[in-house]
Amino acid sequence: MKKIFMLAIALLLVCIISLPAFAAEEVSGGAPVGENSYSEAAPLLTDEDYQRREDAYNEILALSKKDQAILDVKMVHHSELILVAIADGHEKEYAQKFIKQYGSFVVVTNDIAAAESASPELGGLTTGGGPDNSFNNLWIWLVFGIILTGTTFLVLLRRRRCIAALQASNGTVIAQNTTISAKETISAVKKSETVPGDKVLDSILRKIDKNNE
Amino acid sequence: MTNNELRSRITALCTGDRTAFEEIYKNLSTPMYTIILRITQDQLLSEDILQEVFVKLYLSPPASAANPRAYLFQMARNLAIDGVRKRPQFIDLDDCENLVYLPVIDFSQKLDIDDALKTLSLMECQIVSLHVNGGFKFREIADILNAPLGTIIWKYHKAINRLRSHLSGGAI
Repeated sequence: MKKIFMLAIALLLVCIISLPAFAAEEVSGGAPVGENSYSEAAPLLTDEDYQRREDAYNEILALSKKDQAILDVKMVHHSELILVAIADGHEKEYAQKFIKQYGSFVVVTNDIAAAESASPELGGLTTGGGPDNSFNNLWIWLVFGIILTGTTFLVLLRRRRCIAALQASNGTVIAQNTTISAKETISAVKKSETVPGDKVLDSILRKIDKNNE
Repeated sequence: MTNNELRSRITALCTGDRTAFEEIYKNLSTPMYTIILRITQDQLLSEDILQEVFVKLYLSPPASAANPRAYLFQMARNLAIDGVRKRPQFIDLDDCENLVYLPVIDFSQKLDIDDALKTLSLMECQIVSLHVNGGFKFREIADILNAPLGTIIWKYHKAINRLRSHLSGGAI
């Protein structure tokens, strides 16, 4: 029983430890990073590049006042990106529009805060739009781990049979587990010796005395 | 009690030493009675046979026997087999050596090793009892039972596995 319980715990721990490797929070999947994507851009920007970004920011900011689909615009200075929050369902349309119009430094997202924190790598950002698949796989793996552990526990538990009693004739418990080893069997045979009654020796001595008479 | 110790006691017994006799009885009576009882399955008959063995031992000590221990157990075993043969039976007594005792199927009873031993054939029961309880080596058991050594070893392991299976409720 103890072995089954320890095995179940070990399986659960393996599932929990492996969760971070699978947990992912996607931010707006969709269009691939373009040819001139930020990840391929030169690390240093020229004055012209800064000016382009400034102009793009101002234009998108002005557009946001008229266009209700543009929820928010933010310039991320440490990565020189412009993050644009777009209403659900329009990410792809606006992403393609901004890429074509301004370049890949304009990033469409539906969560500016998360995009801003992930912006140094850009790998977590997309320049294209798409349906919002912000999805946390963590709970699925946890449920999977619990189900797997529980199933294993139940399967191993069912394999264990309960028997009425295993006891030698002298009261010694032979085994508390279902299966017993050869060593335990031999030990049980050894311990199950039957002692003859006391009268047997007396009877023998009487017969000997009778024979000697 | 080893053969050397038994031999010294028998030597003393030849002079009528009751103390030596009682020492022999004290050391050998339990394993011998266990083996006899497992063959006969009859307590009274087993006690009679045990008495007969020790009376013969006292009256005619086997001083010249090379293996006095095996000699005594062989005598006990032969008397037990004869006792079983003489008992009224409804089976062919020629097959007594291969007699299989059917287990008592009563789930209200506790399982114990004696019930498990009943599932063995008579030969297997003797081999297991002589080896485990009597402390005999397989070669000595082969001499006692007048059977090949290989057969004795094979039957012993088969019997132990059967006991394991029975005691494990069939899980093995």
